[in-house]
Amino acid sequence: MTADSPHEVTQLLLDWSSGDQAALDRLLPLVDRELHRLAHHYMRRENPGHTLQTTALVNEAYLKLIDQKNVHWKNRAHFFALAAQLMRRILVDHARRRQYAKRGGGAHKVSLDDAMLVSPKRGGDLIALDEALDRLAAIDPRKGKIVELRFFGGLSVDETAEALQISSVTVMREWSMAKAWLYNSLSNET
Amino acid sequence: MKPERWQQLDKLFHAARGRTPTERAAFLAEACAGDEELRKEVEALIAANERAGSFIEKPALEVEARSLAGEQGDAEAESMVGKTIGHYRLIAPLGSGGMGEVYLAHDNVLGRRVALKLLHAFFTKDSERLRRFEQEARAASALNHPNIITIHEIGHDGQFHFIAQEFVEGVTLSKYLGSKGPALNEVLEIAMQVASALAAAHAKGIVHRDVKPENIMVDEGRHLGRQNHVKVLDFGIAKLADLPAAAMKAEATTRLLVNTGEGRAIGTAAYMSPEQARGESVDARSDIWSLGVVLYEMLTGKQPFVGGTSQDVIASILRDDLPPLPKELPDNLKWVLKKALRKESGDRYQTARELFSDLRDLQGEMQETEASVGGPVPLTPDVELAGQTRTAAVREPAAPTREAFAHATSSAEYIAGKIKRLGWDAIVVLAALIIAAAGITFGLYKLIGQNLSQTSKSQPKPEVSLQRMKIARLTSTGKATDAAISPDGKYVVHVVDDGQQQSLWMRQVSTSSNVQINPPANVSYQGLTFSPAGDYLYYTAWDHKTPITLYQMPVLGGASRKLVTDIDSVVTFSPDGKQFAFLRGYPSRGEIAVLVANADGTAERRVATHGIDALALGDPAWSPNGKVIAYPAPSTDANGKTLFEVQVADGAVKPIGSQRWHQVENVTWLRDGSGLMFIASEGVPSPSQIWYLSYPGGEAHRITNDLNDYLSMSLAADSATLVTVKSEQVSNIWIAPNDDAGRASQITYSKFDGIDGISWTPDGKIVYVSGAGGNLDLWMTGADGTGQKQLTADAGNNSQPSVSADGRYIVFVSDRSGTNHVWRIDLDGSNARQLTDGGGELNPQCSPTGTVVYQSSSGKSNLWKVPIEGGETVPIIDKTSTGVALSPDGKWIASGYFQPTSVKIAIYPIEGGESHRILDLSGYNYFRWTPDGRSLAYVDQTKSSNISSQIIDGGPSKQLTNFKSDLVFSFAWSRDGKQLALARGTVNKDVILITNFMGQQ
Repeated sequence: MTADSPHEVTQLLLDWSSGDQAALDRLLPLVDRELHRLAHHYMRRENPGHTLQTTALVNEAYLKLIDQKNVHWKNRAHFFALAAQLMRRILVDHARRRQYAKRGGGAHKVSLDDAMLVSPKRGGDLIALDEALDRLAAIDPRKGKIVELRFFGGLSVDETAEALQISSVTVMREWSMAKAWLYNSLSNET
Repeated sequence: MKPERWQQLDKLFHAARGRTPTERAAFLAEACAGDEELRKEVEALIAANERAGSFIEKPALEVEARSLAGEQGDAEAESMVGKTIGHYRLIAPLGSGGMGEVYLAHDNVLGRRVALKLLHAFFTKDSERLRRFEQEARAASALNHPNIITIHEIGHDGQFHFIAQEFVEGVTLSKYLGSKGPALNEVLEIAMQVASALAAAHAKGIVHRDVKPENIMVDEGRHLGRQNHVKVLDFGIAKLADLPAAAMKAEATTRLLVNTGEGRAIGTAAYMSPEQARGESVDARSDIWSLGVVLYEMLTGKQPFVGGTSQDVIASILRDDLPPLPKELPDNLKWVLKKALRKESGDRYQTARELFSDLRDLQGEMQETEASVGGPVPLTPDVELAGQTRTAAVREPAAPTREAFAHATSSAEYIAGKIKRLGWDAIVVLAALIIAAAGITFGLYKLIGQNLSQTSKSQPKPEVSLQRMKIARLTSTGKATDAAISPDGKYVVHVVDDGQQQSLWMRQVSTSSNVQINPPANVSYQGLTFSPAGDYLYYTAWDHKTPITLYQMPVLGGASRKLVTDIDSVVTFSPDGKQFAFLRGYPSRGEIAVLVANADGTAERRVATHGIDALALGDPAWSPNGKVIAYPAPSTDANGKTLFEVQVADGAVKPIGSQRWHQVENVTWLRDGSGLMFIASEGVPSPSQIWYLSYPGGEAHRITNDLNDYLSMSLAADSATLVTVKSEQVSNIWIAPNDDAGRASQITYSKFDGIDGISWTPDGKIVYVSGAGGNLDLWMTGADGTGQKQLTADAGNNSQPSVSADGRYIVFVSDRSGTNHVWRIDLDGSNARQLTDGGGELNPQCSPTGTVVYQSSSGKSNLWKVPIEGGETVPIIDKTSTGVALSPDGKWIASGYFQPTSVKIAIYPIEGGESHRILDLSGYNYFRWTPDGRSLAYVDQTKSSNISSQIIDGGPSKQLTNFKSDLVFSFAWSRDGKQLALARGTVNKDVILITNFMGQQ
């Protein structure tokens, strides 16, 4: 088994959750590797139509990082929550480092037609979203949790429902309001 | 924010979201009375909800990886700077587009700056694609127009393929709009210059195919009113760039995009014309739509059709009316926008030149107004129109009422359509006949058996040409049920059904004037026919009580006259117009007769008699030489219908060709007698389409090929113009908590989801039917719309799924063997097994004990059962039945049965025997047991937007849902009874006129 076998990642996550900060240091390169693997795929853009494959890759990456199969069912909900929280932290940190490197130099070009993937004003910017999500969670913790689980944790609606012990319909309902609120909040920035 | 206020906001957000924009405003005004701040907050959230699109719908890991990719791409692009490709030295990266990276470059030979596009490996790897791409780009490079970007060179240097084009110091229109809201005058100017560019390209036969703000450059450096202010990029190459336009060729492909939903795809989808969104071929009028969307966006700051995924966007383009335009816009401008954004390309501006003229006139009017009040007077741009002389557009009178009706479809129409689709039209009219004569076959069939195999194969190919077919929509109320064109092609008469009453309308084709000739009344009109000379209109009317009556009305005005009482078909005239033929059923004798009478209804005589088989005969058509009358009837082996001809002189009957259909209607001869055209469906779940049958050869060809139903067909005397009613159904799956249908949310977005059945698995997934792939197939989805998976493929039409109690199997109807039978698959779609092999089976339902109850239409319709593991089929109920619903405990069967003028529902024990209860639901479309097993839930015919329930043991019926619009096609409760899945949507029926469908004309 290589270092990024699902089993090991799960163990690292559990270690981290029980206070082992060193586990985080060992997790970071694993997430980094997945990020670069995906980025490489997006860059090649050999066939812009093959989005299906892209999604499969993302799902696969999540599975590698957050593999719930190896977790005892009683811990699943707890594990989901932890994993999402951790992914959030790692990804936002990653975005910060990137942002910092960019400010250090290197002109960035304008994309002619790629629609913004995250915020209407600040494309690809997880940092602003992270901040807005904190504000949302302060008003409505459950909505904040749902966004964290789904967006950062990559969980499906059903998994989110399971993790929070609520119905899928409630998840969808809360998600729509949270999404609108966050979008509105980010649109009003800058 | 205080918790109470947040909760209030949350509540109002969901309540407002479930309402249409019009309802919403009134709702919020009332709900937030006095609290302006609250209203604004809800509105901001609703607006954000509509605009959010794919925002945070993709996981963060992907978002971050994409950002990383973008940066690495930047770095890669940077590394290209300084290199020379061809004779161009790369100076700086400008950006990236769908086709490749764009650089600012220096032309070393001519010493000028150019924009150099380096094509992606995607293009250059495939030599055929590259060749076509270069060919297309070369055609576009021949365009020479001030508003079209100039292509200098298309070439390659080693592995690099490039396009060198004029460098414009400006920004894309999307960026331009992002930074400021342009003034009205400026909007007009930009739109005119784009229209002008399109007109020039269209004149050279080049369609842009991807008009959107990203492909329009605005030169901010220059002042308004000067040439070259706007430049349109990338003419004609979109289709080869594998942008979503090309990727979305098939609905199935689109479905893939839904699940993966690229942000860019959504951006592009928003500008697609309806025909483009459907993957049909496009022409110049598609560009006009796209420009209309751009114009709308410039004027309102938002796109007219939006959604969270490209599929949502497409659904909105195809389904939704143009949102209301801001009041402050000039009326003429609203009119221009509406005309550019008509769903049917035939109703739109036909040329970019017309659109340009109207925009210019508008600008002129505005300048006059402004000049008179001393405002600024911008210069008029000097735009040449590709060698065309400018002519003022002929302004049609604005018809605001047409749009208003577009999506209101009555329940009765839907039912009429459904019944028609299932081939039950005859049942309603002749219900008594069918019951009386069930199983009896006699009459003429015996005489004609041998001729079936002798169809001539040496006939020349029919002259039906699909490629050149032109289609124009004549109505847009969505409420037409029948239509006919006058022999001279000048008038079209049609029936409008408002859900309760029907009216007759006469439309002059050339002027579009539309006159009501019979006011709304509680009758059903059918069989609209003009006399051969075109002076009289004949039609049948049924008051739902007495037998159907034939009327005659002078076309130029005057009272209707009753000609024949008791008629069961359309009338068809002899070539000289002196006589007509029709059908009449004699229930007591079990016969249907072909009769001939004088044009004034006198002197009836019989020419042929048929025994009444289940679905009996269809509309007769008298041949142009007067010798034969053609009509559809059950084929000799009682397996589908065939067209027959009867000699008027001696009553001899023989089939024309051997093609079988499930249902055939509206048979019409071509003028020269060389063939017939008619509406036919190939099976119960197949749509009614327009067909051609050569005569006497009998070669059949389908003229239309889509998933819509065509409800009538009529030819002008020259056989060159055809009028039909096209019925378009849009259906999608919605899901709601059982106790609150107001919180229903849509989970699928193809046009055809759930159209023929829906069923839950024990673990909360939904199995449904989708027509997205062309055939009807079974699909499965999670209750949140994720994990959509196709279960059947490449095996005929598959519909009416019922998941077994243990969740192991799905039982359904499939015509993969040629006839509808009950089949079974495992939940993952594997191990298909046929369970029944009768003459045609429908509506299978799984009981909790492993029995499948179904309806059989062989011989006589009744109910049967078969073990789900396979085995002997056993009859249960020996009474003509339609529809099956099993009670949750598996002890009772609910099934409809026919009465002469209505259909009631009987509740039988599953062992068979007498009915336990009879429910009179005063008309229903679809019924299922409620989860508690005490009531029957059904879609009421008169209120078919909603589900009602009726307690089996009596009591008043109760409405369970409260939808304000759209129709419910089918529904099912989850196994725990907590969630309700519904197939909802619209059915629009409009009269369309088709020309150029015959090659020789």
